[in-house]
Parts: sequence; C-alpha cells; structure tokens
Amino acid sequence: MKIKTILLPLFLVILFLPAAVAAGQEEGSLDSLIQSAHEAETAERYERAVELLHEAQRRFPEAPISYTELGSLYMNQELYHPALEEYLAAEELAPEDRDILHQIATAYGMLNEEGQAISYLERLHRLYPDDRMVIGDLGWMYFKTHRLEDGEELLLDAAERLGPDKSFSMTLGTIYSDMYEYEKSKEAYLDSIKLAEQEGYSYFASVAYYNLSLLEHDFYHFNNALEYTNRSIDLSDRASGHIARGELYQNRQDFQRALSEYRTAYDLDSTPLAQINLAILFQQFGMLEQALANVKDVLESGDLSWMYYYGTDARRHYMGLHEILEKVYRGKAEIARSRPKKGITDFFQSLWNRLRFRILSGYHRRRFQAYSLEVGNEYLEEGNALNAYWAFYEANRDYRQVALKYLSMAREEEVPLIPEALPYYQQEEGRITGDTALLQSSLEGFHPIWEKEGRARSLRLFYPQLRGNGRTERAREVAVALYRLNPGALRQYGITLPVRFSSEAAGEDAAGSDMAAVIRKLRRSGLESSKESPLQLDLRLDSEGVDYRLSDRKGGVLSRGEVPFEKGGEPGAAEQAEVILQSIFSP
Amino acid sequence: MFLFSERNRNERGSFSEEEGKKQAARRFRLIFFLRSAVLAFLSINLYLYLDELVSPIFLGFSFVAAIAGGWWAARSRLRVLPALGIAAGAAWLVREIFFFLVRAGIHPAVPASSDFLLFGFDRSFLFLFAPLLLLFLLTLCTLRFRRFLRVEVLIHAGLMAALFWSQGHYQLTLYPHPLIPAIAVIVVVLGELFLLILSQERHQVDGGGKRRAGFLLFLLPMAVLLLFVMLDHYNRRAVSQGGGLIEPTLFRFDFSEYVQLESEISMSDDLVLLYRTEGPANRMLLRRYVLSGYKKRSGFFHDAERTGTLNRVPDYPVDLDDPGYRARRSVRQEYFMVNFDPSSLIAVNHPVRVVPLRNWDSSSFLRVYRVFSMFSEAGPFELMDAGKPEMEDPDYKYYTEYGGDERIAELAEEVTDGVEGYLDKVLSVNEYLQSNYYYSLKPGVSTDGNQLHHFLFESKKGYCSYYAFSMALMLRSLGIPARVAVGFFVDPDLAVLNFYPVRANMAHAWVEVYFGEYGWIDFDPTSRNLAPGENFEFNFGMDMETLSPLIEEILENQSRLEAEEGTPQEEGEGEDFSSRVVEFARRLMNYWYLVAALLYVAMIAAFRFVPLLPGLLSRRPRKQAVASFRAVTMRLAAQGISRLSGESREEFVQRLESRYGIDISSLFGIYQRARFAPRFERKDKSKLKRSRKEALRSYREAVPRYKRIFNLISPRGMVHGVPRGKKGGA
Repeated sequence: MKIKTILLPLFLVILFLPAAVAAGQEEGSLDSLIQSAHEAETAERYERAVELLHEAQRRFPEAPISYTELGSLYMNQELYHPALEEYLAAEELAPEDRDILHQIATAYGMLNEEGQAISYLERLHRLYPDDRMVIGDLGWMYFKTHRLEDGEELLLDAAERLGPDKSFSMTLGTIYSDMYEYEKSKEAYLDSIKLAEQEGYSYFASVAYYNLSLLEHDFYHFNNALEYTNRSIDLSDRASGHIARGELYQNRQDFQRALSEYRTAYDLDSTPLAQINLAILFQQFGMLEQALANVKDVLESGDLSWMYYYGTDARRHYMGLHEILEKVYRGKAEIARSRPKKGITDFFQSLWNRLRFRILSGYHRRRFQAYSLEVGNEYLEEGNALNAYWAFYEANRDYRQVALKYLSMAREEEVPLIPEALPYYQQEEGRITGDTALLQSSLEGFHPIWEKEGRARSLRLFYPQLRGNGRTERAREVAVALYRLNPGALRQYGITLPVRFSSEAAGEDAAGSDMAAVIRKLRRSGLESSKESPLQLDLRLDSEGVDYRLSDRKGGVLSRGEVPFEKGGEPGAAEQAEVILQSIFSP
Repeated sequence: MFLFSERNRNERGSFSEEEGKKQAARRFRLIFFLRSAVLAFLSINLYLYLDELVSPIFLGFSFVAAIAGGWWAARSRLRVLPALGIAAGAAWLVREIFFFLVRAGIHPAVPASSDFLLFGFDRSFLFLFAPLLLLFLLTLCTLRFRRFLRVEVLIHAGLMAALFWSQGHYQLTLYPHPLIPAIAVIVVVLGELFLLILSQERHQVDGGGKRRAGFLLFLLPMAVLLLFVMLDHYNRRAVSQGGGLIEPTLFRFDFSEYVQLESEISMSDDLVLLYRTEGPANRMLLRRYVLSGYKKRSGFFHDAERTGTLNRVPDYPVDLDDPGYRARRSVRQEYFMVNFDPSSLIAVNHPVRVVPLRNWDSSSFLRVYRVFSMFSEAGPFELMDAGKPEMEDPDYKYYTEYGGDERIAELAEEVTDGVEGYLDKVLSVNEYLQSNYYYSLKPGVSTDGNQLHHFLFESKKGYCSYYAFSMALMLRSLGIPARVAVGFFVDPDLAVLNFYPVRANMAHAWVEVYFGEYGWIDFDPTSRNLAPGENFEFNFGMDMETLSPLIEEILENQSRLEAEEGTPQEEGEGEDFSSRVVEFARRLMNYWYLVAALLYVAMIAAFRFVPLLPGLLSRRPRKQAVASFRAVTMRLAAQGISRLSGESREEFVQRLESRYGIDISSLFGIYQRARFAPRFERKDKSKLKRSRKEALRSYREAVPRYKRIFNLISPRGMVHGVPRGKKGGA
C-alpha cells in the first residue's frame, strides 16, 4: 500500500510533468520571444526583432503584448502608420487598456489626424478621469484644434480637482495666448515655470519660458521677449529658443545675428522650423536661391509628425511655405527683368524666366490664399475673430474692397487690445489704398530698434508710390534708407539704388570702353546715377579686372571687391556688373 | 457646316448625296462626342492636379461653355483669331459682371462667406482661362478644318503627357489606385485611334486608306515611344508608393557625370536603392566602379580586367578572391534596387561573396542581392605601421601613372613638404583639399579645357569627382598607388530599422589608396565647405512617406528572400537590351534638336510620301499610274492648290492649266484609264513615265524652286480641308 501510495503520485508526476514543463515553456516562450525581440532591437537588428514579434503574434494571437511591442518598435522608428495598425490590433484584444488607447491617440496625433486623436483621448478621459497625462494631452489637442473654451474648461476643472500641475498650466497659457488674454496667459506660464523649477524639470521650464517669450512677442513687448528667450536657452539649449531669438534679431534687421541663431537652431532642430525661418530670412534679404532651396527641401520632406508638439497644423504650415515661394518667385521675376544681359540670347532667356517666375509666383500666391481662407474659416468657427479676420484679409489681398473690410475689422479687434499693432494696420491700408500719409504714419509708429523690419517694409511700399507721384528725390531718399536697413530688399522689388558713380580706367582706350559698358550695365540693372546721393560707387578697371567700392559720405565702406576680367565686350561687362550688383545688394 | 459631306459618287456606285450627308453627319457626331470625351478626361485630370484651387462646378460650366462657344464660332464662320479674341473678351466680361454684382453686395462690417466669391471665382478662372481658351480653339478648328482632327489627336497626346508627367511627381496621389489611370489611359488611347480612323472619309478619293496607314505608321511608333517614356517616368515615381505597373527600363540613374569632370552638374533626389546592413549606423561608402586606369587625354577610366573587380550581379552565388587583408571584419549587406541598373553590382570595399536573391512577385524592386564584404577597420596606428607598401611592376607603374602633369606634381610636393610618413603624406593631401577648396555643383568652365587645373588652381571649387581625381593624381605623382572609386555614400542619420535610403544626390567619388597588407583604404577628400553663394545642405532628409511602404514590403516578404540558383555566365552577357536602349536613348537626347528635326521630317514623310509608296513601288501598272497622279496632286496640295469642294477632277485639271499654267492633262488621262478602262495596256504604261515627267516639268516651271521645297516640308496642305470655292476657276 505504501509503495502504491508513493508510486501512484510519482507516476502521475512523471505522466504530467512533461505537459507541465511544456506549458511552462509555452508561457516562458512568449516572454522569451519578447525579451529576444528587445535584445535584437537594442542591437539595432530590427528585422530580427520584427521577425520575433511576428512569431509571437502567430503563436500567441490572444496576447496583446506582441502587438504593442511591435507598435512601440515602429513608433521609435517614426513609422507611425504600421505602429497604428499594431496598436489597433491590440485594442481589439484589450479595448480598455489605458496604454494601448493612449498610444493610439499619440499615433493619430503624429499622423496629424487630430479628430481621431481627440476621440481616443476623450474616451480615455472618461475611463480614467484623474489621469493627468491624458488630461494634459487632451488639453493640448483642444488647443491645436482651436477648441479653446473646451480646453480651458478641462484644464481648470482638472487643476481644481487634482491640484496644480505644470503641464496644465503650460497648456492653459497657450490657450489663453490664443484667446489674447495676456495677463491670464502670462500668469499661467509663470505658474508652470515655478512648478517646473520646484520639481527640477529644467527642460520643461525652458519650454515654458520659450512660450512666454512668444506671448511677449505677440504683444510687442520685445525686451521681455528677448529676456525670456535667453532664459529658455540658458535652461536648455533648444532649437526653438534660438529660433525665437533669431526672430527678434530679424525684427531688428540684424541679418548676421539672425542667421547665426537660425543656423544654430538648424543644427539642433529635428523639425523644419529652423529651415523655414532660414528661408524667410534669405528671402527677406534677397538671397532667393538659398530661400528656394530651403523651402523646397521642407516641402519634399513630407513628414509632418513634428507638428504634434507644436501649435500649428498642416494648413498653416503649407500656407507659410507657399507665401515664401510666392515672394521668392516674384523676386526672381523682378531680378530676371533687371539683371544685366549678356546678349540677345540672354535677353530672350530672361523674358522666358520672367514669364515662368511670374506664373509660379501667381500659382503659389493662389495656394497661399486658398489656405488662408481655410484657416480663417477654422478660426471663425472657433470664435477667434481676430485671427480669422486677418486670415481673410490675407486671402483677399487682391480685392481691395474685401481686403479693406477685413483689415478694418481686424484692426477693431486688435488695436484696442494691443495699441502697438496700429502701425501694421496703417502700413497695410497704405499699401492697398496707396495713401502715402498712412505709410508715413506707420514708418513713424514703428519702434526704431525692434521694428526695423516693419520700417523696411513701409519704406519698400513707399518707394513705388513716390515714384508714381513724381517725387523722385524723396523716392531716392527712401531707397537709401531702405538700403541701410536691408540691402537685399531693393533688387527683388525693383527698387534702384541711387549712387554717385566715379570711375577710372587704367591703360588703353579699350579699358575705357569696357568701363563704360560696365557702368551702362549697372545703370540699367539696379543702380541709378544721382549727384545728391550719399552713396558713392568707385570703379577702377585695369587689365586684371574691376575693383569696386561702395561708400557713404563719411567714408564708411559698405561693399568692396574685385571682379576678375574674363571676357570682353557686352558679355564680359554684364558678368562683371552682375557680380558687383550681387555684392552691393547682399547683406 | 458639316465638313464631311459627301459628293455625288458617280464614279464608284449609286450612293446618293442625301444618304451620304446623313452618314457623314452621324459620323461627325460620333467623332465630336469622342473628342469631347477625351477633352473632358483631360480636364478632369487638370482638375485633380489643381483640386485645391479649382472648383469642379466652375470647371464643368466652363467646359460646356468653351465647347458651345467653339461650336457657335464655327457656325458663325468666324475666323480663328477674331473668334479667339471674342472668346477671351467674353470670358473677361463675365468676370467683370460677376465682380460688379458681388461688390455691390458686400457689407462693410459683417463677415459673410459671399465676400469670398471674388477670390473663389478668380481662383478657378485664372487657372482655367488658358486651358479653356485652348479648348475653344480646338473645337473651332476641328469644326472648321476637317483634317485638323489629326493634329488635335497629337495635341491631346501632348496634353496627356504633360498632365501625367506632372502627376508622376505627385506619386500617384491623384488616384486611389494606379490601375485607374492605367485603364483610363488605355481607353483614351483607343478612343484616339478610333477618332483617327473615323476622321477619314469612307470614300475619300485621294487615297484615304493609304494616308491613314501613313499617319499610323508615324503615329504608332511615336505613341509607343511616348508611352514608354511616360510609363517609365510615371512608374519610377510610383514605385516609391509600393506600386508600379511595368518595371522601369529606361532612364535610370547612371554615374556618367561622376566619371568625368563637368562644368556643372545637377542632382536629383530620386531614390536609387535601399541598402540594409546590420549593426549600428555608420557612414559607409558603397562602391560601384573603380577607376584605376589613367590616361592624360581621357582621364581616369574603368578597367575591370586589371582590377579584377566584379561589376555585374551574377545569376548565382559567387565567391570572390579574398586577398586576406588585415584588420577587416565581415559586413553583410543587402541591396534593394529601386531605380538603378539591376545588373549593377554595388558593394562595400572589399566584396568577397555575392548572393543574388530571388525577388518576390509584384516586387517594388528591380533586383535584390546580398553581398559579404571584408570591411577595413584599420586605424591610423595600423596604417602607420604599414609604411610604404610594396607593389611590383607593372601594377605599381599602372597605379602611379599621373600623365606627367608637372603642375600637379609640384602642388603635391608643396603640400607634403616636410611630411615623412606614407600615411602622413596621404592625410596631408586629403586635408589640404578639404580645407582649401569649396564644394560646388558648378565648378565652371576652364578656358583651356583642363577642368582639373581650373579646379585646383583657379576656381578652387568643385564636386566630389574633382576632389577624388585631384587627390589620386597628387598621390600618384608622389609614387603612392591610388585609384578613384565611384558609388554612393550612406548617411547614418537616415537609418530606419537598419535600412538606409540611397538617393541620386548621394552619388559620390572618393579615393582608394594602397596600404599593402591592409589593402585598398578609402579616403574622402571632398570638402564640406559650400562655395559662397551656393546652397546645398548636406542633410538629405528622410521621406518616411516614400520609404515606409518599401520597408514594410521588404519586411513582409523577408521570408521569401532566398538565394538564386543559376549557371555561370560570361562577363558582359548580363547587359540587357534595355540597358543598351537606355544608353542609346540618352546619347540621342544630347542632340535633341537633330532628333526634333528628324521627327518633323518623319511626320511630313508619313503624311505626304508614305501613303504613296505602295503604289509607286507596285509592279501593277494601274496602281503605279494612280499613285503617280496622286504624287503630283500631293505636291500641288502642298502649294495650296487643291481640288475645290464640288469640283470634279477634270475641272480641277482644267483649272490648273488655265489658272496656274500647270499641265497635267496627259497624266490625268493615264490615271483615268488606270482607274476605269477595262484594260490598261503596255502602251499606257510607257506613256505613264513620259506623262509623269511632263507633269512634273510643268509643275516646276510654274512653281519656283524655293516654294517647292519650302511648302513640301511645311505642314501646309496636311490639315486644311478641301477649301470651299467656286467651281472651275479662280
């Protein structure tokens, strides 16, 4: 009996042990597969990792973990579509899993499908009403989709229930800034910064300072904006901080500093924002090829997932790009017109280029206007009247009556809130109506240091009005003033720079006629002779080439260089003149 | 108004004019419907292209208005230019009226969607104005001039090419599935052919069938060539979406610009291949060619026999010589060819085994293969130890040949002055080029034809080939064996799941220097300093929209990647017909102006001469006679002298003589006998030759030579219908 008592259990153990071991191995297999997949991913053997996870899915189809792991692998590699497919498959197995739903929302957000992202976040919020991360993400998505009141309500309620939170405060700050509630926005940002600093999150505080600097910039408090930007960069050297600082320098028309900031941002940036700002800067300062190359590069990249973390969307992104392209092509058309011609072939080439660039400029203008209209409608639906009116104005700039209407409506919204915005409205109205008094008022209304960009624009708009009214001398003064602010703004807008020519041809008579040819080309292509001009262009031609020097009355040299002598006759003169012009009109 | 009215056909049968007119009217309606349908299809594509700018309702109305306007203008017998002016004026008038009405209704202070009607109108109007005027013009011309329809078919083809070419750039985003445009194109092409056939009068007396044949003889090859180019371009762009209808065989990326020094090159960012390797991302150089030979006149050249490198992907796994160089590790690579010659072998230096892999069905890739290479990990310490390696003649002489260029030798001496070690000299030259020169895609043109001197001593800017050639020659002049390698570089920042996209603008040239037991070591002397005024970012961007489907496709078919099994093949056998065609086509396009001229001449010949050839070359006397007469009337038509509507041939011949002094009566008599006489005898045949000569002599006497030649090669008389005029005279 005793033997049987011992043998029977032993027999049963022997009988069932393999099954038990196998079962244990089965469970262990899923884990081991996942573990192996992790290891393969760490070693950057991604195909092996994918293989292992597919095997896990095949063998354990009811386990969502293999789907979520694969989804995470794809997410890490920024393959958002396949990641989403994996997470959706996981959702079918675990419909109320918090992490899965959150990842789905994130994937949708990365794909700029904000509607879907919000739907999942709202579902999550219903299931987990006290989840701070969910609340923060949902508030952010409300902001991105301009559901500002929904966002405000959500975050205020959460803060009341759950206590202060730096993320809530930051998102509230962005929501209030879109509502043009300066004080509330500033307060929210400062709260956020304080909490972040208390918790030791310097990166977070850096982002908050950056947002605060944008708020100050929007409200024309430029000194504050610079201060907060500096603080942001001191806390964390982020691309956005450099971009914000670059924009401030650009406002001051400080090309070198702005370029330096954007280039620094470009090296740090994983988004195309720095490149877009570079493009805008290049365009503004007449470096059109560089501007075009940067914009085309951004357009061709196609990946918009970076927008998830920024308060913009695809429409506004493309709106901005088409606006830059419109200006670039318009500038190129103008330069094609005025560029020194080498001969008859070059002349016809330039005609063709002018036509081509004008068509492209028109095309991009229409695209920009179409996007503006859509963006305006979105803003209007959200009750953001100011931004809506401004967008409508941009869309209808070519239609005077409509443009003036929305400009006026935007002015009535903004100027009572922000009196410093008045010169911009005067400028736009002056542009539409051709009223030089308004342009003059805008010129006087801009801050002499922080709003040089605005002043340059007013001068640029002033010039054709003065020329058209026969006020040539005044127009020349404006051209010189504009040149001092931004040399690159003249040629692309067809503004000629008045200079006093002084020339010397060393050597033979041929040199004299070559010099005359060069001067003739220069006069037809962006420079005009004026004895009253404070600028003097000295040209010296010898057998080596042409030395040139542009200086002002005080002797300050604005541009100088040498152009080697390569060809004679008209082609040579045209080439030399072009080199001189490029040098004179570059920042 | 209907231009296809039949005359009373007493010559052939009992066809009444009434019936003829009804038939012609029916045929015409069918033709008009067909060509309008084709134009509607093209308009829809234009709309898809501009869908964010153009309103479909506006397009629909405008399309109908343009067709109706053309119809009205034809009915009113308006001339083309005035009709065009009226159409343009009417369109602008509509715009002005619309603007006036909208402006009147704008409320100054209340936002309203009606405010945007002006922009909405212009948005469509400005982009559609020119295309719809064109549509108006085509409709008018088709209705006024019978034969214009043939020209219109060509215009349709050109428009379709332009629209689909631009759609290629948008990578099929305009259609939900690539089959849809493919089917649509096939339907349209068939419709156009049908149009051509229908456009011929059934009983066209002047050899309509032959003309049709002639025209088709010209059109079909042109259409096939155009289709080839279109589909290749289209498919090449489409393949990045994971689709593709036909494997591209034309116009793939090639290295020609990199194996010689150009004054300017342009770079596209077409995806060339996907490269996969395991392990952490590294900047890799993927080699396609080694340019080992050098001649002063021709520069560096590829010499496969000398270097013993394999240049083509074999059909079966091949083990290559492994020289057993030191400090190397094995690297496994996989190549997924997208837009590159599928037989080309690319590999990291030094490949030791090549395994062609079986491609799966409907693959987006032209070729897939795996390479195992022994990649050098030799660092400065190892290479310093190597010292000056031994290399025996004739190899040493071969790899140190620099053409005796004294200036380059002097420069090399200057740069390495005071530098002792073998590696140090190499590094000095490398660093000198990197630091003292700029990167530029526009190195410029040298005045004496020596681009390399122009780069080294004058412009000091150029692209990678300039740097590589310069370094290789400078080293050779110092007695250091060096050669140029051409291929691609791989940017580690672009890695996704170990996949690296390789684009056309990553094509690169660098230098391999011999280090004895360490083998040929890569050096890249290309400067990263951009030439002032030029902008070329070295960040090539990651286009996930393009790459993601390709990567997914590979991962899904991972298990099907097996080695091919094949038989040994002679080197060069793999070069396929399509590659040769590609190369030929490329060379041809360098002389595009000649090609265009030849095509024009071919078109004229197809219209004028080809239809006559069967008759002229026929042995049957009757056919010869008919063809001879038609040859003469063809020449007359080129001079604008054609038979008038309602005029018989006899009357036409009489008018020729009385008005123009051209006597072809004798030939006409032969022609009539050939067509209607029960017997056509030998004497008729002998008279034919004489009569033809007489007719041609009379023609030459009446028409000056310059006019004869000019009008023969002009399109005159090809598209004009039988002009209306008084019978029998001026």
